[in-house]
Amino acid sequence: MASQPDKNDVVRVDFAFKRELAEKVEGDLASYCYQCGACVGDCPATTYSDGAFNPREIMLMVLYGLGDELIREGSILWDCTNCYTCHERCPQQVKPVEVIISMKNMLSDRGFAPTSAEKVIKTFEETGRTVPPNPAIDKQRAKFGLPPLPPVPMEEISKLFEPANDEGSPE
Amino acid sequence: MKKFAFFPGCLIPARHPAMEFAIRATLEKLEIEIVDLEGASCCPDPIYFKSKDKLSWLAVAARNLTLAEDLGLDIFTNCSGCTATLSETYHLLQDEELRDQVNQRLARVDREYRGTSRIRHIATLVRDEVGYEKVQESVVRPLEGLKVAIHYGCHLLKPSRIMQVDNPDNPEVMEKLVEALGASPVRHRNWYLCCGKACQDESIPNQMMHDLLETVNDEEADILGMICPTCFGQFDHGQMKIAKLFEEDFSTPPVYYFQLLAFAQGVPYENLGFERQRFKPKALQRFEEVAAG
Amino acid sequence: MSRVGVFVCHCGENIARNVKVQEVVEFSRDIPGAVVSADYPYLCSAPGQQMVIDAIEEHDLDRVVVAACSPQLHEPTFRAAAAQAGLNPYLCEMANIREHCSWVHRDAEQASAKACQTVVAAVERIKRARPLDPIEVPVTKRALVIGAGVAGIRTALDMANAGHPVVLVERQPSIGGNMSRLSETFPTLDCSQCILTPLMVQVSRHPNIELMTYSEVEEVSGYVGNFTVRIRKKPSFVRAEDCTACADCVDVCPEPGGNEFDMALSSRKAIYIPFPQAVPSVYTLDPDRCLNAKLDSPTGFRVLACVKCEEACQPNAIDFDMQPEIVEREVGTIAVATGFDLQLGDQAVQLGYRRSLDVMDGLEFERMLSASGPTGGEVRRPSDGKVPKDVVFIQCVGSRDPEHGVPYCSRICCMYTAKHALLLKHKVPDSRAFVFYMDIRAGGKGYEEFVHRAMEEERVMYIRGRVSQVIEEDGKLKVLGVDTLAGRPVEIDADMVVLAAAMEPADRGEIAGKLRIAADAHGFFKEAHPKLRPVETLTAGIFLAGTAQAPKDIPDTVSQASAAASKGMELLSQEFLQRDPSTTHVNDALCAGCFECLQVCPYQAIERREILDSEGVLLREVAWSNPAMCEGCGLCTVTCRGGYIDLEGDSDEQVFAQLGALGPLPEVLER
Repeated sequence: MASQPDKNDVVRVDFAFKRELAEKVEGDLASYCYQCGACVGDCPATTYSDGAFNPREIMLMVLYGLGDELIREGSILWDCTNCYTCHERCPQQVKPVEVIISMKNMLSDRGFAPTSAEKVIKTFEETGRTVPPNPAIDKQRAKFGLPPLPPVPMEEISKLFEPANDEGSPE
Repeated sequence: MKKFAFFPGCLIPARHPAMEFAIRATLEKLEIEIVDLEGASCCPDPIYFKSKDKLSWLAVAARNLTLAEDLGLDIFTNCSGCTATLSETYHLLQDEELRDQVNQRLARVDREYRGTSRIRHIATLVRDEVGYEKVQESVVRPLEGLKVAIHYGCHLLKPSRIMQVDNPDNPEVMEKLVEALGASPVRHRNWYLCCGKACQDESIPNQMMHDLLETVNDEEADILGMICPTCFGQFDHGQMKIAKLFEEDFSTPPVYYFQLLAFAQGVPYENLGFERQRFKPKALQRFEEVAAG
Repeated sequence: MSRVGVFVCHCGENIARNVKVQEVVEFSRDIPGAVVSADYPYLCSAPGQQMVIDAIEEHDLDRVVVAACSPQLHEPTFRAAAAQAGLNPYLCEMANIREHCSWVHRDAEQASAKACQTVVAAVERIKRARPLDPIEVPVTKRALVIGAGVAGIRTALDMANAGHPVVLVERQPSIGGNMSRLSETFPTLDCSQCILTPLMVQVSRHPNIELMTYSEVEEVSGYVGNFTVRIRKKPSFVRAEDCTACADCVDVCPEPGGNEFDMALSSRKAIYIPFPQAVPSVYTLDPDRCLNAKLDSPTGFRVLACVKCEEACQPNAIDFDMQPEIVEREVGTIAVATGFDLQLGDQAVQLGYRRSLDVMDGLEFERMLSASGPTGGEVRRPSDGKVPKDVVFIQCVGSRDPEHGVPYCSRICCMYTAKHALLLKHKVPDSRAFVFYMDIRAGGKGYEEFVHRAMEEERVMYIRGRVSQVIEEDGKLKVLGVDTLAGRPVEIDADMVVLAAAMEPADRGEIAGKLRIAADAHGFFKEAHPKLRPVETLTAGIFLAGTAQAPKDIPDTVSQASAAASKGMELLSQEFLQRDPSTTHVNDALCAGCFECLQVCPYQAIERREILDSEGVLLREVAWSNPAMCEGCGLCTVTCRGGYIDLEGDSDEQVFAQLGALGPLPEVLER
C-alpha cells in the first residue's frame, strides 16, 4: 500500500486541483458532502484496509483541495472496490465512487495509472475488447457450436476517444 | 416470441464460451428471441477504461446503445459490469447538456444517441419478461436439495437509483430464480460483500474473499451461484489463490446461473463446460441419474 | 367639481435631497381641481397631520393627496387624519415620491419631474374616487379546534376560559394525541400523562367546550366570522352516557389485534379503551376488528354472529345499530392542530427495522419506557424478553436526508434521544448507552444542560458519525457506524437499537383540502409569514398550532397554541369584523354568465347567483362577488372579457385617468 502523507501538515487549499476536478463529468459532487460518515460503516475497502482507504476522508480532502495527497503515484484511490455501497448510504447524493473515478481520470492524464490498468486500456484501444482475440479462443467457441469472435470496427470507435480541437481544455 | 438485442461483452464470449452457449440454449427454451448486435465493442468496462476518461467512456458506451436503437430493440447483458456501464450511460445521458456533448462525438461517426433502448441484465430480463413460473415449467430435472449460496456482486443492484432492479439490502430475484429450479437458496452471513476485483491492492480482496467464503462454508452450500463473469473469475481462479494463501479449503465451486438453468432444463453435465473450471460443481452429478425425460 | 388638497412631504432629506419639493408644490397649484398645495418636513408627525386636518376644514376639501412615502407605511395614518376632519377616509390618496422616486433616481431634475407626474396622476385618480364604508361582517361567537392533542387542548381551554364556546373535534376515541404516549418529557422529566391528564379532564368538564371525539371534519364552507362546519361523528357502538368503563366487555371479546396506542407493541381487543386515562372514559367498538363486520355487512352490523360484549355489558351500553351522525356547527374561527406522525424513511430496513424485533423507533421505545406501556415500564428486548445491556441510539433517521427521507431537521430528536438514554440508565443502571449523532441541537431553555447531564452524569457515549447498517447476528445487533472525529469506523454489538425517526404531519392533505389552506411540499401547513405571522394562515380566520405547522417540542407547541387562541379571540371579541371595502362589483345586467372570473379568483369570493323572474322561473345565472371574501386583487376585473366587473377604490375610470394624466416629461414640466 502507498505511504500516506502526514496528517498533521497544515492544509493549503489547491484551487487549481478543485477547478480541474470540477471540469470532469460528475467531478464536483463532493460539495454536497457534510461529512456524516454514512459511507464509511460498511465500505469494504475501509474495513479491509484498516482505515487506510476512507471515502469520507477522501471527500474531505477533495473539499479542502488537497490535490497533492490524492493525485500522486500510488494514490489510495485505486483501492476503491467500486461496489457503490457508499452511494446507497449517502443522504446527499455525493456519489463518492464517481468523484473518485473523476480523480482517476486526472491520475491517468498524468500517467499515474497502475500498470495493470494501462495494459487493459491498451488492449481495448487496439482491439476493442479487454480480452484480445486469438485462434485458441475461436477453437473453444467452436466446441460449443459458437461462431468465431466477430471483429470490432476500431477505426470507427477510435474516433470517439480524443477530444476534438473545439472541445476545450484536455480532460 | 419476445425479441431482444444481446450485448455479449468481452469476458463471456472470449473466456467463458460455455456460459454463452448456456444463455442461448436457455433463452430459446424460454421463448426469447436473441438478436446479435453487429459491431459491438467492449461496453467499455466500468473499472479501467472509465478511469482513463469518462467522456470517452460515455461516448463508446452510447455507441453500443445506438446499435440496439437502430434495430428498435431493448438490450440484455450477461455481465454485471456491462449492465453497470450501459445503465449508467442511459441514466447520465438523460441530462441534455451531457447528451449533447456525447452526441457531438458520435456525430464524428454518423451516429446519434436517442435513449430509446432499455438495458437489463439477463436475470432481470428473465424475471420481468418470462416470469418465475415459466422458468419453473421449463425445468425437467428439479435440483431438489441442492444448496445454492448466491453471490449477487455489486453492480446488478447498486447504485439502486440507476439500476432499479431490486432492494440492494434485501434482494430476492436470484433466490426466486434458484427456487424455480427446485433448488434451495441459502444466504450466507457475508452475502453482501464485494468480490474486490476492481481493487488495486490485493490484500483487500484477499481477506474479503476469505471472510466471504468462510460464511459460505458455514452454510454448507453445494455451489455458489454467480451472475457476473468477473466475480466468477474471482471465485474460481481467485478461490484457488485464497485457499493457498490462507491454507484453507473452501471447496465451493462457482456456477454461472444460466449454466445451472441449462442443466436443470436437461442439458447433460459434460456439455456445459464445467470441466474447464478450477472448482467443478460435482454436486450436480447426482442429478445426472435423473433421466432427462 | 372636486376641491383637492395636495400635501408634499420632505421626509427630512429622504425626499428633499433628490426632489425639489417647492417645484412640486408650485406645480400642484395648477392642477385642475387643486385648491390647496403645501409642504411640510414630516407630514406623518402630529403637527404634520394637524396641518392636513386644518386644511381640510379651512378649505372645505373633499379630496386629499399626500405626496410622501409608500402607502404601505402611512396610508392608515393619513386616512385616519382625514376621517378625523370629517372626510371619508377612502377619499385620501398617497402619491409615493420616496420609494418610487427620490430613493431610486439620481438626477434631481428628472426626479422632480417624475414626482410632479406622480402627483398629478394621483390627483386625477382620487377625483374619480367615491366615498366608501368598510364592510361589516357579523362574527359567529364560537370557535372550532381540529385536533385534541396538547396543542388543540391548550387552544380550546384558552378560548373557553375566556368565555367563548368552543367545538373541539378529535378523530381518535380519546383526546391527548402523541403527548399522551410519552413516558417522561424533557428537560424536566415530568411524567407526561401526569401533566397532560389534568388538562384533558378540564376539557371534558368545561362548560364552554363541546367535545366530539371519534369524529372527523367532513366539510367546511363560508368565510372568516361565518364558517359552517359539518362534522361526522363515527359510531362507537357504545352509548357513552351508559358506559361505566368497567371493562367486562373486553374480557369476553374474542378478537385481539395490535394496540395502536402502544405502537403495536401490545394487543387490544376489538372493543377497547385506548389507555386507562382516556378522555372521554368510554369504550369504543372498532368496526374494522369486530367479528361481525367480516360477515358481509356494508355498513353497521346487519348480521350479528358474536354478541358477547352486549351480553356481558351490565348497563346495556352496547348498541350495534348505532349510525354515524352528521352534525353542523356555525363558527367564527378555526384552529388547526392536527399533529404529527413518525417516518423512518428508506434507510429503515438496512438499519434493521422490521428485520429484527429489537430495532425500534422513538415512539415505540417511549411506550416501552412508559409505566402504562406494553412492558409496564421495564426495558426488555421484544425478541426474547431479556433486559438489554448495550443499547445504541441513532439520530437523524429519515431527517436531514434528502436521499432517503426528508431534508429538514425534526428538531426534537436530539433532545428525546438524550432523554431515552437517561431513562434507560435510570431503569437499567448497569446498561451502556451509545448515541450516534451528526450534530446536537439543544437550543431550548435548559436543553444544553440536559444533554450534558446524559453525557456526564450517566456516561452516555456520544459518537459523531452515521450508521451504515445494522445486521442481526447470533441474537445481537451488529451496528456498523463511524466516528468521524476519530476518523475510524466503529462497530458495536448491541442488544437493542433505537432509531430517532423524522416528524411528518399527520394530515395527508385531507384537512388542507377541506379548509383550503396551503401546505408545503412536506404537508406542513403554511403560515402567513414565517417570521411575523407564524400562527395565521393566508385564509382569514384559520389559525395553526403545534406540529401540524412544523416540527417542534412541547413548550413551543403550547406557546403557539395560546397564540392561535389569542388570534381566534381577537376575532371573536368583536361584534362585527371590518373588511376593506375595496372589493369588486359585478354588473349583473350585463354579465353573460361565463364564470371565467369564478375560475381565476384566488379567494373563492365569486359565487353563482340565479336571476329569477317574478314567478320564480330561472332566467339566467350571473356572477356575484362576495364583499366579505373579496380581497380586492382585481384579477376578475381583467379576466372579464366584457369588463362588467369593476373594483371599488380602483375602478377602471380611476386607472385610465391616472394613466392619461401621466403624459411625457417635458409636457408636464411646461404646464
